Amino acid sequence: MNKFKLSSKFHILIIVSALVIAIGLAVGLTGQFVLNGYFNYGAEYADYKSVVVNYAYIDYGNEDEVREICDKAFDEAGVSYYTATYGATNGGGEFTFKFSEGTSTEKLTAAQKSIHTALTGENTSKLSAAFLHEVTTEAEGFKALTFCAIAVASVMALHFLYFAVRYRLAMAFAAILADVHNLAIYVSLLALTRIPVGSAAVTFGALTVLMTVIGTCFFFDKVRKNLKKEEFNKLGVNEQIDSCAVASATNVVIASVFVAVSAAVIFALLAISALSLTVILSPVVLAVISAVSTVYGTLFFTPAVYSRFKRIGDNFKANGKAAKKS
Amino acid sequence: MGKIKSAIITTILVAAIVVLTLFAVISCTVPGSNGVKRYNSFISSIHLGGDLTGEAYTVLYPKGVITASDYTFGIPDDEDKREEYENKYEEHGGLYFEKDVIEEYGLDGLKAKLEADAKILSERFDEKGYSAYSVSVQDGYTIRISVPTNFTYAAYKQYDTSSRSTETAAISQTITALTYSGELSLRNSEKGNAAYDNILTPFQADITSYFRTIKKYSAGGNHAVKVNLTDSGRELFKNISNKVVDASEDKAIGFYVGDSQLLSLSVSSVISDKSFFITVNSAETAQDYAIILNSVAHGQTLSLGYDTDNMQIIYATAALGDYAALYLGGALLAILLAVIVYSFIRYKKLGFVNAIIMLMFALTIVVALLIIEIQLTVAGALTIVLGLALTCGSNFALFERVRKETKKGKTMQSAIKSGYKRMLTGILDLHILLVAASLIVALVCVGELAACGLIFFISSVASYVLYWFTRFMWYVLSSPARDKFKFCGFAREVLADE
Repeated sequence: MNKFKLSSKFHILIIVSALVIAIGLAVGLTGQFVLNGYFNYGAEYADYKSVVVNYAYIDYGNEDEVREICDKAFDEAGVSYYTATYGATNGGGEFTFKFSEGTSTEKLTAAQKSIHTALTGENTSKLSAAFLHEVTTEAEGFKALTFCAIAVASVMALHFLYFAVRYRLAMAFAAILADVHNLAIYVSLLALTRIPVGSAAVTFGALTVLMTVIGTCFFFDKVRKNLKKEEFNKLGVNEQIDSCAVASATNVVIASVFVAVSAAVIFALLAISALSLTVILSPVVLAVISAVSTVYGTLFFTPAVYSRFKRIGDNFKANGKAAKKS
Repeated sequence: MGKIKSAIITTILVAAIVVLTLFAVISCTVPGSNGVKRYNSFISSIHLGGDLTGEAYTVLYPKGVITASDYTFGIPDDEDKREEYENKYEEHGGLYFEKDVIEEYGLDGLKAKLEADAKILSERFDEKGYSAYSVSVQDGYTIRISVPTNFTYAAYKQYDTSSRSTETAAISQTITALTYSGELSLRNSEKGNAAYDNILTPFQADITSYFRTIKKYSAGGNHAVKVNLTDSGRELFKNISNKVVDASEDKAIGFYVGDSQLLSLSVSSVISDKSFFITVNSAETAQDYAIILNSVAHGQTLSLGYDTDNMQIIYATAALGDYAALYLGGALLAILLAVIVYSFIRYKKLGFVNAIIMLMFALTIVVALLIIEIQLTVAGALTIVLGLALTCGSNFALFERVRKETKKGKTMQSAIKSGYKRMLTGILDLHILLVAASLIVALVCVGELAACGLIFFISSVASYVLYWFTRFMWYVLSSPARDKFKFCGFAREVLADE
């Protein structure tokens, strides 16, 4: 019927998924004990260092002039910040440059002193100053992560219950397995690639689950409708499932790729706005990881697993009927 | 449907979309106002998250701790006073500490108290439901608080100064209210204990045992703080209200945190209910006071006093750049246009139906964000993209289904009918699941993700409604076309017996 023989590749797919998850787990656990945590926690979850530069309007009428002094000092010290913000104060302005926790304190102190000296040179009011701060966060990001985990678990439970009622029990099991599997692949790839984990990573995690829900709806709807056809029922289980996987492939792939490409467009433009390549890099990788997890899990892994569940279910039914007859 | 009817309906609809789009997109000065009044478009009036309009932050200094700049600024010119001033302070890590403070707490003790206070403050700000916020300890001895500005783009770029001042006033009030130090006390200037700050409660009474919860309450445009009492609290309020009601002038119970009065409860009769309301002028105030009162009523008091009188709140630019919101809007517009162009390429004139649906979806989201005042962040924008994918995907799946039906030799009308019939359960199941899932995310998650859940809930509902509206538009737009297959870009299958 088609050359897309996924159901017979069940063992290979299980091995691939297990390998990705195991490697992710190993890297994550190594990170937990050796590096900065199971994931490479980003700015929202980690402590950071900051250089705060205050300047007075009477010395510097334009903030760009101060920004240039700061950028030059950071370049010379060999440190780079991940965000820079500016705000007006009562008598001037304030720049805040944030650096990751691991940035060398010596280098930052050198840069801060250099900025301070440059700002408080001759013919200045001496009201400008630069400070180096070490900031310990209260880890508000973890609270959001906890609630997100509860919400995702609830969505998975809902997915299972809805499929059990509206579709079939075997489909419900395959659907919840798809959710868990795709999220596990996403999480493992996060640990594996050491992409900074922040609110973007959490959002893409939630999107992965929602995309899986959409993908499984398309796939199992196809199976459900085809099962009503006599011709379809004459096919073997593997052929049945594979043909449905092919038929729903376009919807799943297009939806995932569309979201990933859109995310890339959004972050590419935001990178231009922020004049920083780092803005685009992690979210785009996250979008790709999310799309890969969804497409692989929903199109390859789920049909293969469902074919086994269906066979078990069909055997169970057949045995029941045979027992009744006898 | 006749050609004229079709043309009239199409014209009305397109005109409505064009007018709404103009109002949604274009900001301008109001003609005749001499350039004083300005109309801000729907898009520029949507509240944006901290990633797009920056954060408001402040640093809290414990009383007796000042910055190096403040120390330098405060050095007296007089020699004698200068010596006294210099002897008063001790420098540690760029901060100047009054020696009395160090003597009272010790540096380590101060650090520990400050860390405990930061935890309490974090819990208080968490109750605000911000899309993102942070309470962090800076250099061990100060607390840095940052919250999203909640500015609209017009307010951020200072085109809309009134909206900006509303937001800045709200932020200032919130930070001041949530950082009050001290314990909760109930006072009355006549009936309270004069030797004990006019406090009404018995000396050494545990005030935390009187309150079950203190919550914000809003209904019908009225806002209040709702106080729910425990049994002992009910008894207490019966006693103190009995006293206060007999007062000659001051017939109110003042709710104080430390020495600051937050609320005043006017008493005209004895309070014997298990809950009562104290009206305030805005929902924001009700929420702020409910959070701080609930926190202190449950023993979550700050152990250090903070200098909030000289607190400077700085409104920083967005970390993603000053024009991040504009670029994000541009990206979303580009995605929308790409979808519309693809529709035209793939489905010829039927693409026009999809284009109208996509524009209606975009306008629905813009209006919803504006009316419900959902704070839009980059994550929210991604959720809108997912909603767009859902709406567009449902339509494309339908178009493909109809294409397959036409290949069976059916007429266009019959193909559309059976296409919708075949898609009915699948699309319905998908949307029911997504609506329920988005509701879960909106209700369970906090901050940014809760907003994303709400946006996706609106997107899913809009997607399903627009899916059915597609049928109507298809019918209206294709009516005048002679060859309905050509209109859709479908090839007609000619059956052997035709």
